[in-house]
Amino acid sequence: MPKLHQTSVESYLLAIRRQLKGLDPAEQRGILRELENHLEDMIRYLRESGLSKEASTERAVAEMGDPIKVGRQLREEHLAKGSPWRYSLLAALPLLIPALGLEVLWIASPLFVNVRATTWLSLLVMLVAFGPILGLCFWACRRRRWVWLAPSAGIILDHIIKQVWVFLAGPWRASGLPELISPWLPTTISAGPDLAQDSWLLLGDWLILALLSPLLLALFLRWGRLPASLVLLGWVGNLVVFQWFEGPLSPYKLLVLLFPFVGLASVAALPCAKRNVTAWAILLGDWLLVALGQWYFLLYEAPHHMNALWRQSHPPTFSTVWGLMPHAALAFSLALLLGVQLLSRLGISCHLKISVR
Amino acid sequence: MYPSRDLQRGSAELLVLALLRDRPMYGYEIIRELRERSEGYFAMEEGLLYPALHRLEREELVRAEWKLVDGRKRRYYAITESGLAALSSATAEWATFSRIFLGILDPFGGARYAEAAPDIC
Repeated sequence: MPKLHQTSVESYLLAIRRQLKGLDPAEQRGILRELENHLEDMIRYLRESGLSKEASTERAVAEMGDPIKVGRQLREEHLAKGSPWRYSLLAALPLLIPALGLEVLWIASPLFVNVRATTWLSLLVMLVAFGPILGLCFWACRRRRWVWLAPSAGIILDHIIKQVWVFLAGPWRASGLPELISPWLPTTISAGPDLAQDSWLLLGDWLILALLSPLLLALFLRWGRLPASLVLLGWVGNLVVFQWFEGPLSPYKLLVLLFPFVGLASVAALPCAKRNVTAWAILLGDWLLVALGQWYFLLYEAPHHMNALWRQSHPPTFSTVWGLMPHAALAFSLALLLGVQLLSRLGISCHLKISVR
Repeated sequence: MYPSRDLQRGSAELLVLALLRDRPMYGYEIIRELRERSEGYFAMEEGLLYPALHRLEREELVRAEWKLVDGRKRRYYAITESGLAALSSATAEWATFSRIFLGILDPFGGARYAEAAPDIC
């Protein structure tokens, strides 16, 4: 039979915990640990002043006040703060929305037939390169660090869908479409038709992506200034790979090289943006770059670079949809983020009757 | 005699900031210190200290950090630069408020309070 002091403290903490539903599990654990520490300290103090264990426990719990009231206020505070889980979800949206949307359009499109399928090798390379990301997901699940999971899941989902589709049908790769929607797509998928060249490019790009992803994800927790350096690193890495295998650079190629990493950096910068002016600046800068790059491609480069399949079968209205979708997704995520911020601000004004500011 | 609920509300954060100005503390330590320094005048439901602390943290007026002390992990709170600025501003505001309030409540005694009040600004 459990002792009285145990049941009282546990009941109190359980009552608090019931009020914390919806918060990140790590946050819940932190709150409960802190309250438990407080109770233990108080019980110890009361016992030293001569009270029995049972009386100390009862009094300590009583002094803490109504657990429902305390729990509700704590929950409100943490909801107003915005949990990392929510921010990571918001950050994953720019990956997930265009990925799913584009895949639906691809699958529904009758345009892509009669073009060769890609090889087993590209799928194998992809799986090898996904190792670190999958490892990170495993670690996140085991340690219940959910914040690390959402963006990884977004990246994985996005690329698995694309790779599976490449493997099954493959026609779109010759069409130039991957480049058009490439803010969230590794550039190597859109490489030339040569098999060996494809394999090397895939290897290089996926390795770079695999190297960058954990670093980008680490940014969710602390480092607000990394996006710029990661963009640079990814860009240089891709530049080397592309330059080596694809010949001279053009403005169009530079922009294409930039797309995936500005996209990823935008995603990574979102959670940091709450309190970090630098992150906001990077985020907006990235978005502008992506948008400008897309429009440059749509209006100027596309007519020159599209191959016959693209020119013959792809109506302009469709290309507009391709081009706009990632931006719409990013804008939607930003709007959500701003909405959360606004609610948070309103929450602050409700809480502080007499502001200390 | 204890302060009324209305007077306590909102002032709790300010008192916590004032205590943290001296050194970083953990929750229970803050409660003990508050009780001792106010000679028991300021007493609150102890659990409600934590929403207040987390609110201050969200406002970036304090920063929190888990530390291992004597084999126990405790969450220490330290005042930030913004917290110090907010404390200074709010202290001046409270001094003005008290002086004017007491001056109206007790015109003759209020002058004594005003003289006794420290020059904060």
